Parts: sequence; structure tokens; C-alpha cells
Amino acid sequence: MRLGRRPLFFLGVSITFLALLVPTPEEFRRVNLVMAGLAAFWFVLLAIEEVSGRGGGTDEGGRA
Amino acid sequence: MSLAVVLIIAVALSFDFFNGFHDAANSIATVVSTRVLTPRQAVAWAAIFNFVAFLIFGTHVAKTIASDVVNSDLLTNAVIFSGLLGAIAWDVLTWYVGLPTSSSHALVGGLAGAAVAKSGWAALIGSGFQKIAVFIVMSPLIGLLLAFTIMTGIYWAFHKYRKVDKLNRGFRRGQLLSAAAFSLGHGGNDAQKTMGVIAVLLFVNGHLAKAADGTIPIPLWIVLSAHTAIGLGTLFGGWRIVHTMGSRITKLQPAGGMAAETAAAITLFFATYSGVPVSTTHTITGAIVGVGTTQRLSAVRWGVASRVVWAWVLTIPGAFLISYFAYLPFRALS
Repeated sequence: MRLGRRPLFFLGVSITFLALLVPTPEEFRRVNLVMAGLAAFWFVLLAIEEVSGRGGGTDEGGRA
Repeated sequence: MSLAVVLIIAVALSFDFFNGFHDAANSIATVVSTRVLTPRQAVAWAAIFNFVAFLIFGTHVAKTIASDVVNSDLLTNAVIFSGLLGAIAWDVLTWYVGLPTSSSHALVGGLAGAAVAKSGWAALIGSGFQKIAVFIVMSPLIGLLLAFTIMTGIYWAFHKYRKVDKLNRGFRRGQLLSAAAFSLGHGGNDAQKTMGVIAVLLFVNGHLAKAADGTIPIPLWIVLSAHTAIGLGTLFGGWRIVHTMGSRITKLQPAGGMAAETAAAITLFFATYSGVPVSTTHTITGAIVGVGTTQRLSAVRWGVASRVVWAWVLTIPGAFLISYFAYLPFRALS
């Protein structure tokens, strides 16, 4: 079983927010945590979607 | 007020005017490309909200620029002038080669370069730079995540709705609000950077004193003139650029445009209230990438995204170097 690029992209975004925790000033660290959590949520959801065979994204939507 | 001070204020306001001139396209391109408004109506809409932003946001970002980037006690008229010169030169250079750089980061890099040329590295305030540097990376990513979340929420909420025309009409109306919100965020964050420069200039020349908390207060006339300059820049420049922007980069459906603008506006509101100078261009680019990601990764124009990454890397050092060398003749004269 191999995960597609989209879930891994959001995993990467989540890791980036966590990696930025150290240089982020203390008063903004909760932003990193909330965003890392949101990205991790999308990673899990998109991974489940792909594993369950419903993945691949939609063809309609935001861009023309 | 001396002639030199008046001239430097004029240069700072020109910088603000050109900021509005170029960045207006970010907030109106989607409204124009989806034919919600004509280009002229759209720039007027954006300019109004650029201006009224002064009623909503405080002056936290202006205080960050005035007090947290460079030690204001070491600044002189020549340093501020060289800093502005470096920022403007960098903006013009990168506009010519088509690199989507941030005027805000150019301003920070420019002030830093001229200050270091005068007083060495001790002139810089590390904590202020750290905050700005972290948000250079974080603001597009926040925009991306919020846009993806909003767009997915729209799919979930309306995927069974069959009256597509009625739905699109609703999103078109929604785009009026989201474009207004983005213009508010743009006016709020970007105009304040110029306010910070003018305030520190007046402090250096003894026209303003520091408050008890060590920050430089921003008088109302500075607030109004900065918002007027950015609003006029939007009014005069936006409609010329929007024809290219609307079709080349941000060809979105009404729902996608609304999601991207709303996400970028939320990011800018947060940054502005928190006193963090961020790039409006990078934030909206991140949000558009977020909307594209709801389809598939290949739907995103990664070429544009990678140019933004280069802009991250190059802007502060580039403006820093130009301002550093722009200050050297003043150092030789003193």
C-alpha cells in the first residue's frame, strides 16, 4: 500500500509547523500547534480516503 | 519640519502608493475574472476598503516596524532614506524580472541594510527579525491550510445541491464580501509599514517622543496619509494589472475565489492584530494553492509557488545589500 502525494503534502506542512516551533516567539506558538494539528487532520483524512479507495480528489471545484 | 524630512515622507508615501498600485490586483483579480464586478468597479471597491482599514485595525504593525526591527536610537535621515531607496529599487528590479516579492520584506531588509552600514550588526533587534522571519514561512502556509479547509467545507456543504446557477450567484455575492475583507487586511497590514517608517523618521528628528512602553506612538495624520496613499495606488494602478492577473494566475470559480480571499483575509487580520508585518502577495498565493490542492496537487501551478519560495529567500538579503551600498556615500560624507 502506497500513500499518494496529497496526504504526504499535508504531513509535510504539519511537520514544517512543528519544526518552526523553536524559532517562533512564545506568544505565537499556539498558532504553530493549531496549524500543525489542522494539517495532521487533513493528512489522516486524505490517507483514510485513499486507503478506502475513494481518493484521487475531485475534478470539479475551485479552478476553472 | 525640515525639507529633508518632508522629502523622505514623500518617498515613504510613494512607496505606499506603489504598494497599492501592484498589490491591488491580488484582491480584485478574482472578482473581475469571475465577472462579479468590472475592473473599474473592483478597484474602487478595493480602494475604499484599503482606506477604511484605519478604522478597524490599531497600529501594532506600524509599531513593530518603528520599534522592533532596527534600534531607533541609531537611525538617521540618511539611514531611513537609504532603506527606502533599497526597498523601492528591489521592488522595481523584481517587478521587472517577474519575481513575486514582498514590499514589506523589502522594506525590512532595506532598513536593516542601511542601519548595519551605519552602526554595524548591533543596530538590528534580533527578536523583531525572528518574528518577521518565522511569519515569512508561516503566513502562506496558514493561508494554504485555511483555504483548503474552507473549500473542502464548501464541497461538503453543497455537494448535493443541484441548482448550480443559483449557487454560483450566491458565491459571486460572497466574493464581494471576501474581496472587501482581503482589501481591509491588505490596507491594514501594508499601510502600517509606511506609518512605521514615517513615525521613526519623526522620532529621529525630534518631532515625536517614545511612549512609556518604549514604542513610538503613531499620530492620526500619519495613519490617514498612509491609508490615502495605498488607496490611491490601488485606484490608479489596479485596473491596469488585473487583466493579466485575472486570467494568468487566479482563474478561479466564484467558490474558489471566495475561499482563497476569505482564508487570506483571516490570516492578514490575525497578523495585523498581532503586529506582524506579513506579505499580502505571499498570503493570497498560499491560499490559491490551498484551493487548487482540493482537486489534486497537479492542479496547482507549482512554477508560481516555487517563484514565491525564491522570493522568500532573496528579498530581505537583496534589499539589505542595495540599502547597505546606498548608505555608503552618506557614511563617506559624514
